[in-house]
Amino acid sequence: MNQPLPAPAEAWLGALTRELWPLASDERAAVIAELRGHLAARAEAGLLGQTLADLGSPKALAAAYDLPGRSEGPIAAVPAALAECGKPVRQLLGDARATLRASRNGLPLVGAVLVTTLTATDFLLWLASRLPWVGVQVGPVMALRVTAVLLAFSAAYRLALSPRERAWSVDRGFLGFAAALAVASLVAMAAALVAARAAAALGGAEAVRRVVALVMLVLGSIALLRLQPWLAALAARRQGFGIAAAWCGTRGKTATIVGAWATLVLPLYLLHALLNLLALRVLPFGAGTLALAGLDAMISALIVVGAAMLNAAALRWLLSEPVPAPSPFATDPPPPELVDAARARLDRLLRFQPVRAA
Amino acid sequence: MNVDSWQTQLRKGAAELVVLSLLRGRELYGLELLDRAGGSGGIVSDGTLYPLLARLEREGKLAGNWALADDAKIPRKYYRLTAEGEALVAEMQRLWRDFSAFVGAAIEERKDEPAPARPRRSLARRADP
Repeated sequence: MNQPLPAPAEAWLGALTRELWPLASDERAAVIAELRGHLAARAEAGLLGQTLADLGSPKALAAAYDLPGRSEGPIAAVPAALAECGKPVRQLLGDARATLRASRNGLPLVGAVLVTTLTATDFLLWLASRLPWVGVQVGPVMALRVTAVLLAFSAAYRLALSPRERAWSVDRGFLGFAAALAVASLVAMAAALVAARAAAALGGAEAVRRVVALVMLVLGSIALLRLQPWLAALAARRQGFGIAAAWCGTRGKTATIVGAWATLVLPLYLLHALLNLLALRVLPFGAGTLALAGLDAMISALIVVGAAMLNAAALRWLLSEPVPAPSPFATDPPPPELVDAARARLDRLLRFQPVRAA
Repeated sequence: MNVDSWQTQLRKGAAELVVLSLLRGRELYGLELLDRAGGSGGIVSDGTLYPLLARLEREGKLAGNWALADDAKIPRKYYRLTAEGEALVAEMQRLWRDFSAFVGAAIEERKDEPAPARPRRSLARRADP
């Protein structure tokens, strides 16, 4: 379906896709598919230039779709049988960005909450490494850091995929997600270590051992990326999407997922590693370290939010589910049980209000 | 008044009627609609058709259906009128006929009449002490 058009038409469609961001992803895809067909037919007749001029600028055409005022039913989506099979990296990244926009500003908030914990734990961990005589207990600090990251991931998945679920709740969904992520990560690392030891036992040199460990770590990380949609579904309490569905569903899509991860998350990881190297090996420990910890915490929070966006987009891709249209501010009334709980808390608070002297 | 902006408004109002009328009793895709509306004097153009179709579909006046025609490499979206759309276009056509008959009659009537002499009231008032 997605046969390439002449460059000006592709550029025009790309710009229109960007301008149509307030639409749900399936509606946007339907609009673009319809116009792609129109342009292809006109190009065959040698009328492409005139047609692009008649269609006008992408911005003006997107505005003509009356985006802010849409309140009626959806437009017909392209059926899966007629839709394009593959998804380029760029499109998956676009879906990840749409996930951010559709999360009612929740994902940036998750990042902001995470920054405070990560700044403190970064600073304490660096302090423990650079000034061991201070006696910082690394274990509790690491436990706090890991818990905060897991909670942030879970909250991000719920905001992106199941907005009706309580984002920061520690429940069975969160515990299942945390346990599954921990086991999968440990298995990937253990596989790398076992492979390295096996290489050493077979008489391999130190360099060979390291290369084997690195290759196994990369393969394990790619396997972990294939399981991320399942982990996202666990955290968001989406029923009916198991580990087998994630593993089989990502077959043939792994290159796109890895490409998107390498574009969006890997540079942030490298920056995070560089900042840690500076803090632990290069720069003196002093007044600037706290600022460096804050910067590293921001990068780490971006890693969490970026990975959550990407994994949520990948899950929707596997489920053939559109990314909903953005709704920055919720207009639905809150659930009645939340209102009742808030009223009860308010009553309790008011009962303890100090009586003012007359 | 600027004639161009008046003409733009006139076209906008008429485009909906043209598209709905063309879809009476048949299914058409965008390019077919444009070709059939080719003689509409620019009432329906490439840039106005698709947003209009999307709006009418959202409003439930049209139903869209994707299909791959035998001769086509790319799936096309065919539109047809819904029951609501049928009722709307029938009413719009009735109103349009009344409207165009009235406007046409007014234009024809005024064309044949000589312009009446206007009293120069404002000047006369100013001349009063």
